[in-house]
Amino acid sequence: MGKKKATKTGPTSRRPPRASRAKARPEGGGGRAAEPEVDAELLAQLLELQERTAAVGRQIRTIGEMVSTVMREATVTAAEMVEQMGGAVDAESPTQPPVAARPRRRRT
Amino acid sequence: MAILMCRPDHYGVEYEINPWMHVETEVDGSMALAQWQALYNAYSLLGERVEVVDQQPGLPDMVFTANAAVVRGREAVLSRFRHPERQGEEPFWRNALERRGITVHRVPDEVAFEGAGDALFVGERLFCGHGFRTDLGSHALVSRLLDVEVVSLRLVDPRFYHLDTCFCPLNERTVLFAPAAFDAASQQLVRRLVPHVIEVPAEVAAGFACNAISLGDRVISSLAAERLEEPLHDAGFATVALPMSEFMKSGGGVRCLSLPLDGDGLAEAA
Repeated sequence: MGKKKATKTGPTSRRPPRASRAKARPEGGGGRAAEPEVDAELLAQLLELQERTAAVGRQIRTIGEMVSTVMREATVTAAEMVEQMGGAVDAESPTQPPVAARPRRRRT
Repeated sequence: MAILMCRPDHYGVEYEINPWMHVETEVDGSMALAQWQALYNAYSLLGERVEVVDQQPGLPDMVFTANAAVVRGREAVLSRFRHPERQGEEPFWRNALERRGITVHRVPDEVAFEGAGDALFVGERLFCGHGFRTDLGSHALVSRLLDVEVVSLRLVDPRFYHLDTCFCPLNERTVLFAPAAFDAASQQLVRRLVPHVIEVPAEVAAGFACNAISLGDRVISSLAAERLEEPLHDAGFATVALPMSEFMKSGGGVRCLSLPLDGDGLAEAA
């Protein structure tokens, strides 16, 4: 087996990671390719990071639900407020825009 | 009280997000600056401190500082603009307010809320508009964030796309109010909750007469407010009418160009 030519890698490289390449290599002579070494410390950090990310995700969902609840439950329209004050809403004013909205345009 | 203004160094009609804006319309830059300066001078002559923010290129509507946030004491709820054309203003307003020692709250990105353009105090009660720029759902959030009672009013005429184009608190008991801009329930609510309502015909409001600011017994507004001199006089106010033609091309007037800090100043004015 000759010396491998150095391959340029960089941020845009599509080359699979080393572990994947090791698995993809064809087995020869019945011997199994060696498992890539696992850095236990790095793995622990990764797992902790995943756990923290999940926790933050849960917090974001909870806050989102709280915001939705506040918006849904606490918003009172003018009509509801008039009714709460013991009045009936009369229909003397227009409820449809008297002037149609125009489509938005930008200066070219 | 201080009033936050933004000098029109990069002002123009560069897009259309309300019925007043037409990109074909040319804004006279020197005229706009002169009109802005006249308003600045009026505030200074009346003893108000004016704080000026630099306008950023590419954000022509930054001149309308009322739309930056709603402020109560040392707290504010920052605007989340409906249209992407104005969303670029948000970080600049956040910085401008925080640099003045104001704690800035935000609504979620998906909820539109356009600051003092759609939120005006009458005494301790905050009247909020919805229908065009601000989502009704934001009102409850603003109520919680500022710990105030909010009254929601529905706008139905796109010419009056912000509450401050058709509703103007003059003191704790008196407002200018253009009923044609609101749905029936909102009209009833205003008449029930505010002791003294000065009704403004739609054609006068369309001259941005309600887009005004009251300082003590003076009401500073556009030239259209000359048609309100009599009812304002009867209510104990003197009118200061200023030309606002260049800003009306974007759908703004006196109030839009001014963000009172330290609350709305109405407690002091009452």
